[in-house]
Amino acid sequence: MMRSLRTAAWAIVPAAALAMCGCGGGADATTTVTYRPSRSDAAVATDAVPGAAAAASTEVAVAGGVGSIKGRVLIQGNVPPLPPLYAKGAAPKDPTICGLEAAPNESIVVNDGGLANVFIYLPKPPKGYASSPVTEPAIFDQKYCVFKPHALVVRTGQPLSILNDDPALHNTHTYPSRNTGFNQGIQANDRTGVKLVYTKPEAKPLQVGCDVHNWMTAYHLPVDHPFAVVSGPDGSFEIKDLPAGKHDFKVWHEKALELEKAFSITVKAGETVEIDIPVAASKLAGFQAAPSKIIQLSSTR
Amino acid sequence: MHGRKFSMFRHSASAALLAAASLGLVLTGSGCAKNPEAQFAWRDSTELLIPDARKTVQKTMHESFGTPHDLVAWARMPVQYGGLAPAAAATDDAAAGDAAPVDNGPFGHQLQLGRQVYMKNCLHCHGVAGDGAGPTARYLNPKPRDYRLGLFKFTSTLAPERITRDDLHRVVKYGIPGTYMPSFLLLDKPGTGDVNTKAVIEYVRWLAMRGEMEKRIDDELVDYSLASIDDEIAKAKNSYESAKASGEKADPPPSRSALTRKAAGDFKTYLAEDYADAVDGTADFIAENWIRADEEASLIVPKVARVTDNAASRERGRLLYMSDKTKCYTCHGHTGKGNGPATEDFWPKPGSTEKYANRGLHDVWGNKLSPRNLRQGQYRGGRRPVDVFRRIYAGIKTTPMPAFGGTVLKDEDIWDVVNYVMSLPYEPEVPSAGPAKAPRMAATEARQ
Repeated sequence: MMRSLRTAAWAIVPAAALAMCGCGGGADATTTVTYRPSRSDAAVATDAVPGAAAAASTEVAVAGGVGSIKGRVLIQGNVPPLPPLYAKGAAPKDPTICGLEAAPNESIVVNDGGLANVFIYLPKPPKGYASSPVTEPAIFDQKYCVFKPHALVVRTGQPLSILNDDPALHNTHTYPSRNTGFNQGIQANDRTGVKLVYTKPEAKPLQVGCDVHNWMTAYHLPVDHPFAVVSGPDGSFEIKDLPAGKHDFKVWHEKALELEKAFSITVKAGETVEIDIPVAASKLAGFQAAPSKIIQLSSTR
Repeated sequence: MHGRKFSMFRHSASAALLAAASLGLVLTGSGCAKNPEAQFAWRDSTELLIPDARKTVQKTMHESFGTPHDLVAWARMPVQYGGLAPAAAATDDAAAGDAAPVDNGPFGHQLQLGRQVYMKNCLHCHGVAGDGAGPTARYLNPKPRDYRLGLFKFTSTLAPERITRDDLHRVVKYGIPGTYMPSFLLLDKPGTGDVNTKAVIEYVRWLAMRGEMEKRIDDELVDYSLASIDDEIAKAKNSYESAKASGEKADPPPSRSALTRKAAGDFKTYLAEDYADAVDGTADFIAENWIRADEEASLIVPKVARVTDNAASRERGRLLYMSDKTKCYTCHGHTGKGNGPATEDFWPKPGSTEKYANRGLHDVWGNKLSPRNLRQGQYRGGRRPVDVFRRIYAGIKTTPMPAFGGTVLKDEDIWDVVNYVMSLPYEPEVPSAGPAKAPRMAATEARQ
């Protein structure tokens, strides 16, 4: 019954569309709905395997032994030191709170030829590596309207305590790509902290800002393994207890973004590999390519 | 059924319409005579992937969600598609993930109806794919919502949670005051159980899940995009030129085709090793989030009843509004007109090394955003006091408005601010109880 009416209506639809408003989106077009099961059987079958495989191969990793990596991120060329974002007493907002100290420009920090705040990390855990969860909270503080630390590695599932050492509101606003965003006001002088937990590892560090003080930025990198570090003030870093073998590290800095897609280091059991990561000064110019243009010819958007 | 009556009416008028149509055909020639087939526009980030990666994403999306004409009802997604799922899937765990009321209609009828309602009423602004880029969108400010992040502004849920069906229901029924979103109260006749409204809400949720899936998969594949190849070339060129300028020897930047070939090779490995897991994890993440949104624990329920709205409460609210504790005034202005100092600043663009080119605040879609003018008495997320309470408690998702509840303000404090804010449209612009031109001082006094 419905169908016959439908068919009758069909002759009119184009006419009605024309007479009334012209180009529609095919509201009355017939549609089909196809059922798709939640998971294919094959996927369910493979789901069962990784747990067992991981447990087995952890032992293999231990059997192969572990080693460490130690080195510095070294600047090649000259990077003039950046002036502070504002001088002492000259904060553009809340001068009586933020202006108690000058705010350092931490986007490029070079000491003794070493570049600080560089993330060096494995994009995913070594094959078969099962890491134990970290329950001890990481600390992310704010003092004189500056995030401390500026660059932070945190484990997935590890509680991150966001503190506030200023007598004014801050809000911590994260811009993750795999995790859920977070935008929470942090009470003035909050020393107990607000808890933030990243549930998923990110492919690259994510930006953290404060919408009250627009100069405040920091970077977080949630990872699901212990092989991720941030270079220290003089560019030094150390990654301990890596399973022996070849590892491809990502190297990331906020001005240059991805410095290395796959920086290969081979670790030998029981040894410490000493290796420096060179970074050309010109890479810190803070540029990005103009986005490629897309021409949309579709009129159905 | 009123649908039937409508068809009959059209039947009797069909001769006249057909005559008009044929005349129209002659007059307009090609023009609008043949409707282009509706399609889900791809995100720019999909279009920018290298061909192999793009085709892979498009295939995944087709398999998971279909096209506007051949919809795919994926049981993993918590959508009430309507009707009973095929018998073969009776044991499917996630199909039962969303407790739908008993419904013996043909499978997928609710999604089908939702699509029909959407295509008639919504796509003009929100676009076929829910990308907020329908034909009318370019003329609108504020922009229609782009569902494809799965994020909506006006929710009754806690800060990390998504929008509920009830929130969407209210938005569809009553519209969003101060925007182009009208009330669709007439979508359903009273007493018909809001069949059309419910169907279109499921369809919108489905579009949001579809769009978020595409976005998140694209994010995973960012290494295999033309944009990242452009970036790499620009970087290599930059270091080559600076090395040349300083007289050093350096390798010339690699060619685009070489980099594209390399990316294609890398993608092949990724596809074999990681792609399936990434898609699977993404789908689970999206499904879990949407399921959680409708759970009772996600709802913001004030722990205390509204504080009596009197002069004392409003004054406490005013002092909070002006204080360093909340800093409401930095965005909403000292007099509540939405013109605080933050609207004059240049703000960093998340995920880039740059700042926005224009002054003022932005939402996650990159649209410029005005803090609400609190003196108009117009509340986009609803004008019930509890609506304003929830805006302050959980913030406004996708915007700089942070969540204050649970950390900065106690529920009683939030009610005081609600009482103050909701009194603003009826009060003179300079709060009489405070110093006329030095609201900062008022805040200082309040702290002492």
